[in-house]
Amino acid sequence: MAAFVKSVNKKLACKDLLAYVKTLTPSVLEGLYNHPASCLAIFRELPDFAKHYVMRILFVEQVMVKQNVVATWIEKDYANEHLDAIKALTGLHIVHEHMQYCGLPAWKLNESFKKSLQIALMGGGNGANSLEMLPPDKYAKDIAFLDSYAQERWECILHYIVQSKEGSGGISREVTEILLHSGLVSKDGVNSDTFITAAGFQFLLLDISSQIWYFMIRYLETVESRGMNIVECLTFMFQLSFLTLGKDYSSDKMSDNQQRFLQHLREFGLVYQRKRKCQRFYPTRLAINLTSSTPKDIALETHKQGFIMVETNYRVYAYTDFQIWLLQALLEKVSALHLLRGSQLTRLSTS
Amino acid sequence: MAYRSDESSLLIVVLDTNPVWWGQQLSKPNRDLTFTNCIEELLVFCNSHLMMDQRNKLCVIAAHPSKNKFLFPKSELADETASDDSEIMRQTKSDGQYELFAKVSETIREEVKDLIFSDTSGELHADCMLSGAMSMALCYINRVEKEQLNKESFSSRILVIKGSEDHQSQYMNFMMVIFTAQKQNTIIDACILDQESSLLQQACDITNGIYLKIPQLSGLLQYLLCVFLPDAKIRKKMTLPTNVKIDYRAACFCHRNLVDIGYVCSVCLSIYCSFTPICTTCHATFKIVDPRPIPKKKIKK
Repeated sequence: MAAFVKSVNKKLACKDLLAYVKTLTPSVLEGLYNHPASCLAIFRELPDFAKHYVMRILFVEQVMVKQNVVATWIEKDYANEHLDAIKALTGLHIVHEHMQYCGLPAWKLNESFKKSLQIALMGGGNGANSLEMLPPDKYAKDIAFLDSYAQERWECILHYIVQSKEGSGGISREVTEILLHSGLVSKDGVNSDTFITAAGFQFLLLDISSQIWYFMIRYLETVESRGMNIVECLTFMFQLSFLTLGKDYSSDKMSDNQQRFLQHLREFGLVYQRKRKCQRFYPTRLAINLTSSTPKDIALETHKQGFIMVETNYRVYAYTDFQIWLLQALLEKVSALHLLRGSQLTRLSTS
Repeated sequence: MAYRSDESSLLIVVLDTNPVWWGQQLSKPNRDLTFTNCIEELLVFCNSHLMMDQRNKLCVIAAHPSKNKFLFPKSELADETASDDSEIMRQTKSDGQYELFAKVSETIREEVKDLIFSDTSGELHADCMLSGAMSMALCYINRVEKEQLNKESFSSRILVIKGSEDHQSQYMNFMMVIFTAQKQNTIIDACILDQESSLLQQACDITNGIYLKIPQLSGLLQYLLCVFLPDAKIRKKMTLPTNVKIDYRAACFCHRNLVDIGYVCSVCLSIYCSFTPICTTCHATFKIVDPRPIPKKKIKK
């Protein structure tokens, strides 16, 4: 129990998009910047000053802008913020430093970033990487169906984290590997079942958008080891986050790596595909705006009514069918009727 | 995560579409800015605003001499064509432009064409219904505020892009719009293409907005991005054009001329350039004070 308390004090650390992108190598970044969707996603996560600097030099023909000119763009009191913005831009290789002819240092915007951002803004790209629309789907699905599908898939994974003894129904080996890698579950021996860790508990208590993001970051960390191309996966992920909910898209032009990635996403509940061989897919609510760090309210389920009673003799009665797995994880089951669960809170059940 | 504002921003662009003024631009020798170019540059600016933050919102209103029209979002009366919208989206070429931006661009272009073709009256006016357009903008801001589900705070600003001249008949309405905007904490910015406008100077000064007459029309987009893109919070931190000397003269209520010295009704504070015995606004009467001395009656002895 003491060990449990100690590890709970260490908060589950999750990188946001910028922190994650900074860990990528320059060649991967260069590959990413060739795609409008990635540039747009990264642009939105920059600090405010950085965004305005980029906008000011995005359409300027003159290639470089002197550093002391950029420094005059802001009031002197905010020099720290200015430095922070410049650090973010140079760290992500969006601007490079050059020495101008007159001896003064200047900034130059990364050419591929500039072109891709202009394409995202105005169009005019060659469409090689974009997802096409198809003629109307005779098996068209509406948003309510997509929501329930996404919820069912994601709860499947959460259920597995909590109670893996009940078998990995519907969970593939890859998901298990990711969960092991991220420390949310762990194993005693090689062939034994997995059980939840303290980090796993904290994960369960996060809101759903943070859960999805944490899980995707961990997944991306294992991409290279599976032999998949990280640039392609990231590009597809960024494209996915900018799609419209309720519309279907073609998976025709995607490469093999991206097709594999799509199948994984299908398992996590981020996209829906009627059949594996089907050429069209629907992004679900979990995938839209995935990479943005602004608070989103993904209310997958409508407001569900429920009651929980806690007695002083440590009995808990729950009259609901919502997130039962959380109760199962923390409490020892005493009785279970339709919709009514009686459980006991014991030292053993919480450790 | 430091230095990112957590407030979203609503931008309303009021564009002056006076055909007389825009037509005159075409006949100028160097053709700095044509209407088509202006619309395209405005589209890039609007998309840039939406790009800055995922929660940012946009509205574009065209101020025409005979009417005002919402270019984006499409007015709800036109929603019979909503089913066509998905068809338009299916046919939109996939050229890498973010879908939302493509939708904004297509909608605005269609609505502008619709506005121009539907203006068949043939009357020529030198001004546009600016105060009406700004009132529509303020009503839209109020509606968005009421419709906000999760009570997130957002700042709002109105950017007026104007080329034609002011007309003094709009003075009263304009003043009321300015004071409403001040109460609502809405910033009014002015991007002046041709003739200076004292009304907009006053508006920008009262609401802490930026007034800028564009020196080089061919660089309109760059001025828009540099000066008018930052929202209220960032503006305090950046060096942006400050206000010019403002003409605060009021216009008289009888002729709409600007006066320095005039008569003021003591009840309702309306301003007149010459003496009137009865105030036309509140119907208060004024005693006539004769400045000539009353001649003393000579007592005949």
